[in-house]
Amino acid sequence: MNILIIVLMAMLTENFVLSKFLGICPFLGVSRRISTALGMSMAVLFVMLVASLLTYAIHIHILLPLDVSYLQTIVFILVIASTVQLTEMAIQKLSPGLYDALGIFLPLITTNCAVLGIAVLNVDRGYHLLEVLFFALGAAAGFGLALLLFAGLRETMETADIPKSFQGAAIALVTAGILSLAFMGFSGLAPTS
Amino acid sequence: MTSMLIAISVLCGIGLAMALLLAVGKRAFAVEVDPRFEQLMDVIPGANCGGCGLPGCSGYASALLAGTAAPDACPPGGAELTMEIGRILGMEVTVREPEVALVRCAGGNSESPIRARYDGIDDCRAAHALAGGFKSCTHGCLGLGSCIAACTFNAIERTANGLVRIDPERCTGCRNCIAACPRHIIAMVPKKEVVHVLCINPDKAKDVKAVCTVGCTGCKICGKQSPRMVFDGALARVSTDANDPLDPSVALSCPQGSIYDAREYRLSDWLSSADTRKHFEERAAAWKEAEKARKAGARKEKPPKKDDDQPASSQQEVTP
Repeated sequence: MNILIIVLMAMLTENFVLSKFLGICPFLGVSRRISTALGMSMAVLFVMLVASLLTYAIHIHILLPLDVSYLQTIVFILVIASTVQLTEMAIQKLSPGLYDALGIFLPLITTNCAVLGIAVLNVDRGYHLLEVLFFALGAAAGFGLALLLFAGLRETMETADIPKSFQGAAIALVTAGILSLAFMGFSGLAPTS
Repeated sequence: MTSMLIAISVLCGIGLAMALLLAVGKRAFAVEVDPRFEQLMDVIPGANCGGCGLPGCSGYASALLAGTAAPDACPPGGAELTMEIGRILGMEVTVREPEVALVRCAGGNSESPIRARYDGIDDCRAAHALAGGFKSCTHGCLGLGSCIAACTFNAIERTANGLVRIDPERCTGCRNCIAACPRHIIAMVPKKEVVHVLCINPDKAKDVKAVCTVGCTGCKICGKQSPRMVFDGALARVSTDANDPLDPSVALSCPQGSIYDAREYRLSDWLSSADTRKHFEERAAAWKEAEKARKAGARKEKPPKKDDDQPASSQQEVTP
């Protein structure tokens, strides 16, 4: 039950992009096509899972016993950066098309605050291993959901008759705002925190 | 002390572990990249100026490998880079004549007076949009430096007289400044060319003279000196179809003094120094006397060609 709540919360009420405003850069950057948005979501899912498990393990087994949890941020960044590098190599090998489509945004996951955010939140909230796993899954699913919804909207908007002054980034940001407002509606789902 | 050592060793340990992981990953996911790509990236300047029209230097390298970009498309790299690319790709290359950007306006504040005070933002495009700018000549350089901001190579500077000049030694020919100039004053010229018409005002003589003392009036006197002086309406320009630089004595024939001679004068002096102007006028007067004498002599007999004090055959280095 607790697990289900964590997943739903991470995905909807605490959606990383639309409620916590983390990871906005890829959200705006790679949401032009549904296919690339899907690829980005998968990459983020992988990085989030690996990074939260790794950072969790490092926090429990290295940082806490040695009493150096103040190194949290720099160590987490180190781990995340390496994980992203690994993901980049893997994607370049396994799917060159996706690699080209993601372009600069793939290395930018390194500085994607959603990934660092999840690592820090895991630790701050004192989740145990299973909760960490599902929190990461839920958050990545939420990221993917937001990205896909937004990409769908943007693909539809391409055929829409948008006033000239609103075209491009302007209408994208307005849409993102409205989408975020819509996600506020999920806050009713949340157990009182 | 201990806690510091612990912190350091924790960071180093994790860093090392991650490095190992990446090293293993690099092996496991090794991708066949064309080794020439790395070689190309090593020789391409890496300024990411966009002069080739492709997104950055890596985009240019990829396009070279794909065969969609020409080996001489990189202006900052110049002939040297073209040769290098030809060597790496194993292809025949033709080296392009190096070009530099030139600000074709010599009408500073003393030649083309300011007709209105401009208090707007420090940008030529804004000033130009406002009733054609604050300068008498609506074609001349406003000198607010939109081109300076566009130049990634620090090759452009303001002169004391309210103009800008481009240092041909620093200019790489990326053309970013050409796009930035709202008046289209900047143009590419062959780097070896030493004579330039520093005016783009296409108006009739009377109108040009009304707004600037050094504007080209289209009198076509220079056209009689050299067939390489061509005219677009009432505006002279040096044609670019010849291999050798134009004889600089053409500059002396210009009654307006709008033709600049890079062998004789520094461009910055030409644009802002009254002494240079005076010197030029004296030389031009002397040259005209000599021409007159030569023509008078030609009626009686055929004299040897009267040489200017700057021999036409000298091929010395261009030092603007």
